[in-house]
Amino acid sequence: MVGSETHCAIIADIIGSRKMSAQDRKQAQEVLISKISEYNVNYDSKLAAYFDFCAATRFKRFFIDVKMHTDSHSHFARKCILYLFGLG
Amino acid sequence: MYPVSFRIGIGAGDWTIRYAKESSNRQDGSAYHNARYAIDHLDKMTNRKMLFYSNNEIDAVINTLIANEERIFEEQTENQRILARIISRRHMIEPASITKEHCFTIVNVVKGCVSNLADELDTSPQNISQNIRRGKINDQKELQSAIIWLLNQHF
Repeated sequence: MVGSETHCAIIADIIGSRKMSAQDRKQAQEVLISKISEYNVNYDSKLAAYFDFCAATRFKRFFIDVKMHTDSHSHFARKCILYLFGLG
Repeated sequence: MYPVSFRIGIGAGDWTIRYAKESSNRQDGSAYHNARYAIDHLDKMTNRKMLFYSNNEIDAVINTLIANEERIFEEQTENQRILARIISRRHMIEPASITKEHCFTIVNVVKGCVSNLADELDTSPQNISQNIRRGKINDQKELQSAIIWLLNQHF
């Protein structure tokens, strides 16, 4: 479980999303997507597609799943954590 | 609607089923299941917003550090949070370069930027120092450094 064989997945739940309007919920999802996207060092269109697809299909469950697919996954995990700490 | 708050489950593990051009939902592996495990457990932990899970002994240590960091964050005022963010962005060490020593010496990094911050924010150094102390920003940065260092070491 060390080195380049370890990958990172993130599941984010928007707090209070059940009480949001559909428009606000969509906006909140977009905020999360854009913020996490900023910290993917190997950002590419494929990842963007993952984000978009998940935001649309998981709409009713208010979840966005991010599945990493690069060799820099651990770096991504750190970047996400940095962002969540307000360090990004 | 701002600020938007999130609960985050972070999982580390394998990515065994891959479809290069398919969506996230078509992929699978323990990384995903660990993230799901983490966020499912967050539902039972009312005061927590982030949980890390890798089915590894180090998880307990990382999550304890994360919990303490969250606690400090929750107690900070908005100004203290902004100050902590500015310190991180402008004066902290590159995450990939964080070593074990930084976990104990980060206080000097924060101290060293008081004058610059006072100039940048057009306030007194005393005011900056007071906000750093009351917001426990030194403690927060030490915890963050320790978390990043542990992640660097184990993943």
